[in-house]
Amino acid sequence: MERIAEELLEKLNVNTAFTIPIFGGIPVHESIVVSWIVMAVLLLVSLWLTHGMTVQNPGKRQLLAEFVVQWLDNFTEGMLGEHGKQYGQYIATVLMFIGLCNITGIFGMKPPAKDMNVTIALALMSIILIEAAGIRAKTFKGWLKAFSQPIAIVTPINILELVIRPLSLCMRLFGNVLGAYVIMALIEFILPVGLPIVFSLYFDIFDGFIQAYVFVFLTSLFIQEAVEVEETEPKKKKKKKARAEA
Amino acid sequence: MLSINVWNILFTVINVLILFFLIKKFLFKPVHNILEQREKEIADKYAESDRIRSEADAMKAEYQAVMDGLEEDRKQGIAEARKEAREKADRMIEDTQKYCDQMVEEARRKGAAAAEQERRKGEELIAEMVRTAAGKIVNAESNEQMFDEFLKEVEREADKEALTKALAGKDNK
Repeated sequence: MERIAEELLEKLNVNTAFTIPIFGGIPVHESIVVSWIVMAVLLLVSLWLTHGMTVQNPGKRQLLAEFVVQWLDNFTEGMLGEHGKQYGQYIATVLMFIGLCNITGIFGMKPPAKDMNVTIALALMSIILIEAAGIRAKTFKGWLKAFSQPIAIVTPINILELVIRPLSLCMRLFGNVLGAYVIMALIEFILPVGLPIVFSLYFDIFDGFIQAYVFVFLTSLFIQEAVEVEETEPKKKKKKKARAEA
Repeated sequence: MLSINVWNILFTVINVLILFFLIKKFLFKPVHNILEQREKEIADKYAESDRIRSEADAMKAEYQAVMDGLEEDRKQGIAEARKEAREKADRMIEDTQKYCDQMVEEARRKGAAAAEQERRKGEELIAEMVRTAAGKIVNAESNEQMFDEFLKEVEREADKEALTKALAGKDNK
């Protein structure tokens, strides 16, 4: 039993892939290296899909590229709404990044989202984007005013949300991926043949994509809420409903 | 696992930003460009087909107008030709009628003149015969001889007249 615990802890530990020998040594975690692999894969797939495109008589590859892009456009626009659709490409990128990161476990790599630094970074970027979108849409004054809406008494809660939102985004992703990883590690430990394949379908693929979806869905929802000047009341309800679902 | 490292947070931020720009440049931009171009091409083709259709409609209307004009001209031409033909025919019939009338008149006139001439000739002949007969009566031995002489004379004159007519018929032919 102790051996299992030791092995598990070893697996859960975020190793340093290498150290950059400046400023007294900057450790680069293996999650960053896996991220690079994910980025390379996404870039290569993008280049392959968009290579040699023509306006007339598109090939199967181009049709796939068009389908993927249009699906992503519709998907993000559906979540972001009319006013926030300009952020769709970032949301799509994050969706693909997290989605692909979460299924790296299938290929024997440690999912980057298992490293809290990655999820912190993603959550920070999300909250910065949300607030920046709010400032862009409402101007700085309007953005500040929005903290006291719908009534002044909720102002402290709204301010707290600046921290709560990224924290929940970060922890949800981290916790789910870590949990899935631990369960998969335990299953592999118990029965390394056959059984992990079945569970991997859920924990690696399904849960991985669900978490990616939840992350971008909530980010989109917050952006939509931030950029919509009117109708703050129904959005709040929608947000609460979405939170309850999540 | 739970250690927070600012460098790695920063690396992830940089990674995501780089990935965002790469995906934007190499996936979204080219595909959106192609889609826009295709939309533009389709819109252009629609505009072109509308233009061609309106041109074709205009040409059709023009052609129809020309055809209508031709039909009108044709009908008018036929009507005019018929009228002209009728007039010409009427004129020809009238001319023919006039000519025939003239010919008939001429024939009548000639006939009358010939009859008059024949009558005169006959009168002269009878006068001559009477004169000859009178002379012969004076010289005749008897009434019977005189009568025979008269008959012979008449016969001779009749033969002469027949010969003259025969000769005149030959000349006419």
